[in-house]
Amino acid sequence: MKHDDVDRALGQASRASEPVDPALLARIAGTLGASVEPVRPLPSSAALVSRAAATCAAAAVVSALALGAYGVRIMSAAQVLAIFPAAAVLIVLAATFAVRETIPGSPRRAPAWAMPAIAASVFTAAYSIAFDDYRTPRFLAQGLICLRAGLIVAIPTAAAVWWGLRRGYVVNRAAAGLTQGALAGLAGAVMLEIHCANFEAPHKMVWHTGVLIVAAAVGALIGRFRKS
Amino acid sequence: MIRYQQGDPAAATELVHRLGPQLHRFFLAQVVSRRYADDLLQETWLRIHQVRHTYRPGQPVLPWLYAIARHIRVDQYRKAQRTALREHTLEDGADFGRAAADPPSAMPDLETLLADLPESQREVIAMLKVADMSLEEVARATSSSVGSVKQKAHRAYDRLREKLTALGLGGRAKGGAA
Repeated sequence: MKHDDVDRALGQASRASEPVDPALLARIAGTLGASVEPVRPLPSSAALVSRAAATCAAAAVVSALALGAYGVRIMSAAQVLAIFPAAAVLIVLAATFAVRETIPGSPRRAPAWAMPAIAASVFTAAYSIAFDDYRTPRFLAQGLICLRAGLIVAIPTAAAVWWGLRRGYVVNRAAAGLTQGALAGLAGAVMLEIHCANFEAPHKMVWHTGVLIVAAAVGALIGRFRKS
Repeated sequence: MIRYQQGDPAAATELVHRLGPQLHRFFLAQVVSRRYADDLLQETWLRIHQVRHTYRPGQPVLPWLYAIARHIRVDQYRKAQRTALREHTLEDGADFGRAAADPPSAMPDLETLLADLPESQREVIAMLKVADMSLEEVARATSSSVGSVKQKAHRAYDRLREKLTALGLGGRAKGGAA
């Protein structure tokens, strides 16, 4: 039996299925027709991505300035070049992932979980290139302070991103939560890059990247268990 | 779809009559009762109506529409599962009328043919063969990659080939379409 034979069988089987009741279609059409009004389509994807990325970047910069930009002041030019351009690209990428989850039928080049994985890998690589201090004094105590600060920034950012994308329609709540959480987590991680003056590579790899991972995971969990 | 977004009632009617039958077959292909498929169809159109602003002019309609339909089906299934945990249902009774109304036919209907496939494969075959969507469109509707859709379709075809051969319908299918 060949591929075409299965095609033909499926075609015949499809025709053998019971047709839908025309009265049902008429009833649905009547209901829709009675309440149809002009609607304003969503802005373009580029506009939505720009808006979400700007929200994330603004949250990171404003919160870092409020806390004090101690880290970026003592960074070398090479360290700034290793971290911030990559962070900017990741913010746009994360915003793209977040936007596509709010538009049904959007093309997917990669699964949602790829976004935090890519971001964590890029940050880890950048830290390993730009920072060579591998000592870990007060690793846990200092790390928890950074993790908490990053997540505190991520929470309002997530709310702002959600507000900006609220007109969309989410068909996969866990994926939407994960991508929006990752974007908010990026705001927290970038804030830490500007603010945190601890240049130990393990600290940045674990705790700064951890903000992004934790925010994405919490976003996915909230999305997964949120009732429609 | 653009006219529908602009508030044209005739466009809404035309869309429902053009796409409603294939959406209904899509739901039936997920091995649900006819009554449940009717409910899903109504629910899907109501949701489409609510979120019609999310359709992007210039983009293909079917992936957008089926992404919503698929979400409604999964959502309703989860709700039904939760309800089933709390109460006994007359599930067999829901299919009673349908069984009685089935016309005698040598070729099983689509629901029967796809019944043994895993849900993800059934969904892909229903979109490819009932809605006549392309691989790219199915990938968009199911939030997956084209490669993943191809793999599911390939596996589904292998199973269907086995089933049709076991039923002795390979030759009949070929002859019937000629």
